[in-house]
Formats: sequence, structure tokens, C-alpha cells
Amino acid sequence: MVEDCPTVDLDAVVAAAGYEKVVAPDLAKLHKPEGRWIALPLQIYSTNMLFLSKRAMDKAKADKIPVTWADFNDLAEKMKAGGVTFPVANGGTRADDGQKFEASLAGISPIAYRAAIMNLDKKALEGPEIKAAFEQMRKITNWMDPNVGAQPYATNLKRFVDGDMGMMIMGGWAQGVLRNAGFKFDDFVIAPGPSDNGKPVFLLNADAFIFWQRKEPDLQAGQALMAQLVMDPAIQTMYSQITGSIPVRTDVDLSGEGWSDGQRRTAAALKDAVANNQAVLSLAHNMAQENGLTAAMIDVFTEYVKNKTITPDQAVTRLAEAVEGSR
Amino acid sequence: MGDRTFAPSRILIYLVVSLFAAAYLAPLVVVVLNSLRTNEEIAQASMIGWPQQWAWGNYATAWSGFCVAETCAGIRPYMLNSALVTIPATIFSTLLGAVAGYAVSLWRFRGDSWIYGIVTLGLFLPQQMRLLPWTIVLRDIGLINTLTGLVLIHTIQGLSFTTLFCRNYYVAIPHELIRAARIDGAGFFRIFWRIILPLSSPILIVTVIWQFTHIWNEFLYGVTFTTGQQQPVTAALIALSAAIADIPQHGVQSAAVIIAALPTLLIYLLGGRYFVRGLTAGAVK
Amino acid sequence: MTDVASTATRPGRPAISGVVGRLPEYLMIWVPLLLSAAHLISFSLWTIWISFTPSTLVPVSGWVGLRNYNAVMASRNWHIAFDNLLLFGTAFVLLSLITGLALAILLDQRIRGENVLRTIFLYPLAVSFVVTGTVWSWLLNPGIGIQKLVHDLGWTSFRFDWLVDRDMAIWTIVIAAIWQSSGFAMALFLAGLRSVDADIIKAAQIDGAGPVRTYWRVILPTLWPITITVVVVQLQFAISAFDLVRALTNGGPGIATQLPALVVYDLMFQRGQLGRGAAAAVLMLLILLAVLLPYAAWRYFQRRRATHG
Repeated sequence: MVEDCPTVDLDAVVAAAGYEKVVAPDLAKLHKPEGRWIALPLQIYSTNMLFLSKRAMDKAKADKIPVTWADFNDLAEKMKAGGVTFPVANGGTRADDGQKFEASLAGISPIAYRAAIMNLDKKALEGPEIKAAFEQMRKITNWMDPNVGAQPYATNLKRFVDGDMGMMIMGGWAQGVLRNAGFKFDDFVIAPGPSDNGKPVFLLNADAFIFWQRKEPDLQAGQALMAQLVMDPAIQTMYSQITGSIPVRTDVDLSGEGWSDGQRRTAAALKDAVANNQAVLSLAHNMAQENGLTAAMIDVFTEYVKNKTITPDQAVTRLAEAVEGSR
Repeated sequence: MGDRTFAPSRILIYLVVSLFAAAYLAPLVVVVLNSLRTNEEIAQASMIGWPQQWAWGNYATAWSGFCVAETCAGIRPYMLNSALVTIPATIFSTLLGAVAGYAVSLWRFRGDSWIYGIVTLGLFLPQQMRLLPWTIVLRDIGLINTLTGLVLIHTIQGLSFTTLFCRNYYVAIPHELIRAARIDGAGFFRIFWRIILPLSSPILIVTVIWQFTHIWNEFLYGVTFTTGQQQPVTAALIALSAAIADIPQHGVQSAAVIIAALPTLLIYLLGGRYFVRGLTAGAVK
Repeated sequence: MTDVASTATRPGRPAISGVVGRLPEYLMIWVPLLLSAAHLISFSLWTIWISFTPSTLVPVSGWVGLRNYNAVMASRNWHIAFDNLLLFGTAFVLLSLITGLALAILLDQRIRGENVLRTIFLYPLAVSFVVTGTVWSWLLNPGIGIQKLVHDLGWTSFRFDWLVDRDMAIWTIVIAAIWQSSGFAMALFLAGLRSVDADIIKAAQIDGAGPVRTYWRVILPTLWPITITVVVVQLQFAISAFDLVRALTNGGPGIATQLPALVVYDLMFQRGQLGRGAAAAVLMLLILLAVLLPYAAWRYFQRRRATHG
């Protein structure tokens, strides 16, 4: 429980480092809840990266990376026809089910996502984009292995690489997991998630440090050093190269050794998305709303994924009710 | 009753009993076998199978190698945490319960039946009613996310059971024994030490086994009041199976499950009689 | 509890000097008991109070009446949890009674290896719910467990996918719970069977009753009190079931296997809605009281009949 623990005011440190102008605006806003910096993000993931299995692509005789949801759906059908047992390799945890929705909605309309999910605009919550997102989500779930249940996506990674499963919509961290499990960069392709307007949509999920006020002088000194380190491009580079994330700083050069094409695409996508105002905060990873609201909404998504008798219209109603009920 | 020769009905009885026994043993057998299969072998077949090659290394990895959350030290630290919570809490709650049971059964004092009645209500009060208050109390006394905090909780809450067990045992001791000792001038502790304790070993064994099993197996408090490196092994097992950041390692996980279950299983096998007595004593409140 | 014989040993009012000398014993008696009693009462009252406040992330004072209760009872999560509890409670208690009684009767046939068998039926009780849940989550998982085994053996149309089937998932919890604790019912029933008066059985046999009839007419009716105890203890477990579900299904698929204890935990520690969490905890307590109060009354009358009859 977050008690009334006071936090450190980081404004001076951040200003001295000139940090604010190299951070995505929504992310900056999130870490300065009352206008002051109290926490510093270390690394960024986009929760809607599209992972494509090379072997499944071969089976589908496809080589084009899908850009829009229509492309995605076409490719899934092709994979199915080409003998890929399950075109989608996602898992079924709560966060995973949440990601399926946010990727769908943000890909259909980042504007609607911002209004409905981040700002809880009542009209937007019942708008046509939400229904379209649920419809897209249904397609995704129909391409998944029904036996996945509530298992984590990592259970399926081997089948994904083998081409028994085709695509996965997952955060950039899956790159680290795939690499850790001994798979190679040639086994898969990472691209920005489907976006109907053709420009990358970035669903921000950041790992951050919160700076609680400490009385002890040595701890205070430690915190000052910590803040410097978290903002340091070299430290961010080191972290991201291990985990598969991208640095928070938009000014880090990713062209060198140690970065994957996927990470370069992710960083480029972030830059693009920020420029086009298409970088939004992830709901499934607790960035967009407080926990109670997030959980209530994810209840709706996870039930929708697991219960195919719920229609998109019903889901829209339920989502609006869930938001209303937990306020 | 029934006939005792080998009539068909006897064979049927043995058959049914054996089927039941197989069903009860099956999960254990499956997990033990899995703990000796390689992760790859399990991934290719199913969780149920005979080891193609014996993977004894799973136990070493489970004990000190694999990663829970961000730490890669196996379940050894969590086993140690569980031991550091379970052993002191078992000793404290048993001793205090024995004294309290002795006091309310043989050394009657003003208000004893009231307070005893309230304490035994603790057997029924759901843990969920105490979660928030414990959070506040532990935070205020600086014991949140510490093993000491868990020891405190299990000691105080365990008192409900231990006092009941001991009280029910001590009421059967003849009061004349106590009265005679008091006339001789023996005090509270002297009587407890000299007369009661020597008579208590059966109930103390029952209580210790009961408390040990329950505290070792407890999950809710462990997961609520501790995080990361401070968690007991039950909470660590959940963290392990929910570790979405990794491809499942069912062989190693099975070994971890066996290790985590081993202390209470051993106690059960060694002290089965007392274990069952605790079960029935706990039930017939 | 009130024991007439022991009132004679009640110490009289101690002299002032005696009080100091006996301080250690007063401390030893009163401190643990008072701590235990005080925490039970104050914790319960505090949680009840919080359930009427607008507390969210942190406890705050204020009065919102029944708003938290209404919100909880209107939520889908609670609805599902409550329905599940009814189904799970009934099925689990009935099936574990039947299994336990069957095992006890079988073991009561003077069979060889009774000790070994009893050890086998009871060992799951020594294992934590977390371990039980984890193991069964593997066995029942269609992708890696029993279904996969049967498929690998060649029967590919075989389906046993309750774990991922939202309508059947609650039954996986029933299965695991029965495996874990039907031995408890067996132990109590066996003790009951063994304490039946041998003369009554002999009398029935002389009357020409076969074994089935003897059980049905003579022995089983004496087990009523034990049956009620088993039912109450198992219901108490069912109402507060948490670890098992957490390890086995974690409330899923979706939210299909929610149970009250999970809802409470979720509201308090994951959703940051302390007031609603406390209200759900109080509702759990009320459900429990609905089981325990009739039981306490029954016990009370039984005891009165025993002492006065």
C-alpha cells in the first residue's frame, strides 16, 4: 500500500540534466503527478510489438510485415491455410488479455484510446472504435490455442519459433526471453504493432524508480547518485541491451553493436509515435489508470477472451459498467 | 464384520482400496518422476512419463540455481525464510499455549472462561478480517516485510489452537494433584514445571506437529506481508510458477515443489499418529 | 468449560505483597491471552469499521453507510465468487464426505496393510495448498497434463480440458480439494466406526442382518455427530479457500473461478479499494456465521441434553 510517504522533489536534478526534453511527454507527465518529478523511468517497452515467426512466415509464403489490422488478419488467414496450427501465439494471463485489447484499440485509433482509456471519456468509451477493438480481439482469440488458458505467453515460445504458431503481440521484453531461451535473431522478426493509419502506435510501459524521502544523509546522497545514473545514457543503454527494452531517452543512438533490429524499429516507432501524438500509456501494465480501474477493465477483457459467447456489443456495455462501477 | 475368508467380496474390497490408493499417490509419483526428467523431455511429451534420462541435476538447480523474479538463488533462501519463521513461531506459540492452557484449565482465575472463549473464537475468524489490521500494526512497529513480523503473527494467532489443544488435554488431569501441590506451597511455575510438563509430551508433540505443518504451509500472510527475498517458500513457489519472464522449466519446478513439501511430509511420516490426533483434536472444537 | 470441581482451587484475593512476587505468573498468563483476545476483537471491529468508510488506497475515516457493501454485491466478481462458493462448497463437502466415508468403511474391513493405506490417504493433508494447487494445475492442464498424455498415447479425440473451460474450471478446484482433504473425513469416520459398540453390531448380526444392512441400519446412524463436524470443518475451509485457487486457476479462466477470499485479497491489495475489500471480508464472515451459528446452537443443545438427560 502506498502510504503517505513523502517523495523526493527531483525537479532540480532533472532540469540540470536537461532530461525532460528527451522523454516522451505522456511518460514525463506520469512521473510528475503534481507537476514535480518524483520518479524516474529507466527503460521503455511498447506492449504492442508484433513478433513474427520466420518459419510460420515461410509456411504462409509471406514476407511482408503487416502494417494494419487488415494486413494482420490476412496474414493470419494465410498462415492458417499454410499449415500453421495457431496463427497467434499469445498467452492468457490477465495482463496478456489486457494487451490484446489495448493493442487492438490503439491500433484502430490512438485518439479513441486516449479519450476512452486514458481520459475515461464516457462517449468515447461507448464509441464505435471500442466495438471495433473488441471485434478485432475476437479474431485474435479465435486464432489462439484454446488450451492456453491462463498460461503465460512464454509457454508457447518454442511452438512460435518452430512455426507451429505464427504471430505474437507482446512487449519488447519477449525479445530478452527469446534470446535467453537460446533462440536466434533469425528465428523471428519484431515490428511495431498493427496500426490502421499506417503510422506506428506506441503503447508505453516503463520501468521506473520512485524516490521516497529518506532522513539518513548517506541514503540521500545515494539517491542523488541514483538519479544521475538512471538518467545516464550509458546506463540506459546497458540495461536495454540486456532486457530487450529501449532507453527512455529518445536521443540514444541505437545503430551500434548490441542492439537488435527490433529495438531499432521500436525506438524509431517511439520517435514517430511521439511526433504524431500516437504514444499512449499501457493500460494492461498499470500505466494508464490506477489499479482499481485497471483491474475492473481487465476483468472485462479477460472474460471476453475466455468466453466467446460474449458479443462485442455486450463487451462495450460491460466495459462502460466496469468503469462506472469502480469509480 | 463381513466374512473374513477370501471370498469375491474381499477381492473386490482390495481392488477398490488399491484403486483409491493409486489415485491418491498418483500426483506425488508424477511430480517425483518429473523432478527427474529434463525440462526438454517434459516439453516434448507431457507432464506424465517415465524419465528417459535421469536428471538429478534438477534438484541442484531447484535448490540453488534457478531464478524467482529477478534473483537467481534457487529456493534455498526461501526455504531458509520458512524455517526461520516456522521454527520460532512453533516454539513460542506452543509454549505460551501450554502455559495458557494450564492456567485456564487447572489454575482458574477471574475471567478465565471469558478470555478463553474469546481466544478460541480465533479458530473461526477468517484471516481476511485480520489482513488490513496486521498491515497497519506491522507497519507501525516497523516489522512489515520482515520474518520477525511473520513470527509475531503466527505466534499470536497460533495461540488460539495451542491453548485449546493444551486446555482440553489438561482438564483431564486430576485436580487433587494440583491441590496437594499447592498445599505443599508450590507456586504456579513450580507446579507447571514439576507436575504438568512431565505429563505433557503427547499433547506437546501433537501441538508442535500441528503448528509446524500449518505455519510451514501458510501462504496468505506470507504473500501479503513479505515481498521478494523475504518471502516464505509457499509464496516463492507461486512467484516461480507465475514467472512469465521465462520458458517453463517443469523438471526444475517439480524438484522445487518436492523440496518445499518435504519438511511437512517428513514430519507426517515420522509422527503420523500425532498428526492424526491433531487433526481430530482440531476438528472437535 | 465451567468446571465445578475447579472453583475450589480459585485463588482468593492476593495480598499486595503477593502480587509483586506473582507478577511473572500474571504476565505469563495474561499477556499472551490478552494479546490474542485483544487482537481478535480489535481487528474485527476495525475491519468492520473500515467497511463503512470511503477508504481506498489508505484507511481514512468518514461514513459512507452501506455503499461499499452495495458496490461489492453489485460487482460481477462477487456474483461469480458467491455462485462458485455455493457450487464448490456443496460439491466439495458432499463428495469429500462420500469419499471419506467409503474409505473409512473399506479400511474398517480388517484388511491387510491398513496402516500403509491410511498413511497414503492422509498424506495430502501434510502438503500445502500451494503445492497441491501447483501439481494439479500441471495434471489438469490440457496442453501438458492428462489430456496431452492420452493424446500422445493415440486417443486424439480425448478431451479433459476443464482447467481452460470456464464452465467446468470450478470442478478442477473440487477435484484438488477432495484429493487434499478427504483423508480428513476418512480419519474422523474411521475413529467413529471403531468406537461403535460391538454389542450393538453383534445384536444386529444375530437378528440376521447382513453386512450392508448392519452398516445402513445400525452403524451409520451413530456417525451423525461426526458427519456434522466434518461438514462444518470442510465448509469453513471452502468459505475461506484461497491458496488452492491461487495456485490452481488464479481465479481464471477469465474470472470464472473467483471465490470470496480472492475477491477480498484482490480489492485490498491489488485494486487499492480498502473499504470494499473490508466489506467483502465482512460478507465472508457473515457467510461463515451462517454455517457456524447453527452448529454452535446444535452443539449447545446436544451438550445440554447430555448433562440433563
